[in-house]
Amino acid sequence: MSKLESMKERYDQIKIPEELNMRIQQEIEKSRKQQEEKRGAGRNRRFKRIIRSVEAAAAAIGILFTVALNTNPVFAKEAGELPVIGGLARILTFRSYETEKDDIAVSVEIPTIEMIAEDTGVEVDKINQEILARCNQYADEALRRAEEYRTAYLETGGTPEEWAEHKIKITVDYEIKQQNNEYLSFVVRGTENWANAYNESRYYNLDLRTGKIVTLADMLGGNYVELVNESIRKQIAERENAGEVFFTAEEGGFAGISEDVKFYINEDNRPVIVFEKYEIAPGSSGEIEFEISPASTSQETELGSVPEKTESGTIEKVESEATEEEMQTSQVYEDNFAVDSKAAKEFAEKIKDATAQKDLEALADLTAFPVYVGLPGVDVVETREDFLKLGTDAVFTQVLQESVENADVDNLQPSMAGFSLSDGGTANINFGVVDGVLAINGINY
Amino acid sequence: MKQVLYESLIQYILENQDRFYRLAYSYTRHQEDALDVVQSAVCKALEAYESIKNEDAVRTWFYRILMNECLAVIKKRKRILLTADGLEQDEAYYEKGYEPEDELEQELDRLETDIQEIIKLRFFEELSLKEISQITGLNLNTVKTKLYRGLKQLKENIREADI
Repeated sequence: MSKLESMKERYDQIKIPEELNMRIQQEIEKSRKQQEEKRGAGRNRRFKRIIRSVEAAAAAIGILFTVALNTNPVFAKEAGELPVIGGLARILTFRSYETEKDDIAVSVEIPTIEMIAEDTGVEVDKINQEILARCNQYADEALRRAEEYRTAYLETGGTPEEWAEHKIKITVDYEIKQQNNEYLSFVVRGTENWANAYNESRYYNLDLRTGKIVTLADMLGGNYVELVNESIRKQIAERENAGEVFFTAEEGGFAGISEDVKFYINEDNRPVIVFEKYEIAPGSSGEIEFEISPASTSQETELGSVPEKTESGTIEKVESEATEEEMQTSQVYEDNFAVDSKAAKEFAEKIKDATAQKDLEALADLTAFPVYVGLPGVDVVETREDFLKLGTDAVFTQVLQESVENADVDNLQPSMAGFSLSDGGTANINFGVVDGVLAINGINY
Repeated sequence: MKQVLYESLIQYILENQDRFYRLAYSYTRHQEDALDVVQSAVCKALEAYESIKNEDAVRTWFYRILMNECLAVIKKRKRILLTADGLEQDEAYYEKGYEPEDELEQELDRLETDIQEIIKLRFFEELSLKEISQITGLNLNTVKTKLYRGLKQLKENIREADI
């Protein structure tokens, strides 16, 4: 196989023209521009439509909205059965429906805030209208996108049955995060189970004492940006130590919060910053949340976190050792160059044993079929049975036995073809990685 | 999701461009053609990245595109040779820097294209047989058999040439 090796060497020396990188960069640039145009156009369109429908909703629904809540007996009954959350206000499902058309399932639950206490001066109508408009709009657009997807799917040869298999589902719903006499915090989500790109979540935080939308500055003070950034950086570092993965700066990782950063208020009345899936970490991490402690308590956590950190550090270490051990027993090799010399030697010694004892069964156990056997009249041996039929004496020739016996197993060097057991002569047994494990892949005479 | 995939594809392309070129060159034996092959493979990949099912498959997926581009050039060239007066030879495309004097390369070129492809991917690109089976769409055992048959053929042809 030395000729193959030298051919590989010549191959590796093929000169790379400088023009190559230039041409590739050119393609990437071209593609990036197209991508941006696509995205930009989509965003623009969406934005305009939102404005339009918010205006329309405000005009059309404004009066109807409050009337519906108070006069529809069915609605009032349903609303009455919902638990009261906090003393001042509650969240009700204003509109809830499920439909299915063209195998596209739509499930919508639109929340609305209702003030229980009277004369608080808190105005929620505007927020309620906005929520309603957004939810309806999301559901409509998602349905349109799903229909477009369906049309494209059927036009490119998909059958309606295959389409139904997609189990497309559009969901609009909400989740209450905090509800007491101070704050009302909830999130409204729109999701499409086939395209993450359009998933939307909007957080509403209301201060019930003032009736205003709560900002991070209200909760953390004027220098909240530094406070939040510092806290998040610290938490990222801690979580990275514990094995979580975040994007680096170059990968578009956390680079400070923006003004419109998303947050909700948790049960401890603390703000929790939320990053969407893919925003600062790989998608497998999902949404990422950071609870921010107010300035006065942040030092406490800093001091308190020291022993905790070392503790989690030790646990981490034990775990990684365990996985390393595990990996060694069930090692799967990418290629011949991934095999360490110890593993190669161990395998080579098994071959030596089988050859010395002229044990054809044992040799077959070590072999991956089909295997090349360089005996006259034999070519590729397809199966273990065919291999055993060759016969012990035919396979273990004296030359082969001697060559394998004298092979130096301490200095096995991998090549593209794998490892070769021989004394330098032409007769040898070759082995290498086949389907991730070591196996004999050729016998030469 | 898509954005991350797109970025990781670009990174993969930038990191492995030399490998792509070598493989393309081993088929076309011609600098301009090899550059064209790589460029259009990159273009197609970036256009179609949304069809990658998962990130781990980027490598095999890209190789499949690249191989198709290589084979397309070879096919086109054969057609040209046939329509021309037939005097032109493949050897006309050899260039200095890739010594054709070694008979092994020539023998390799003479093998059936699919066997050639398997040998190149296995020994030059050091891909696993499983990956090759994913790239070529052939089943794993077929890949193995073709690989060994190809190697044996090479061996025989060269032995003959030695005499």
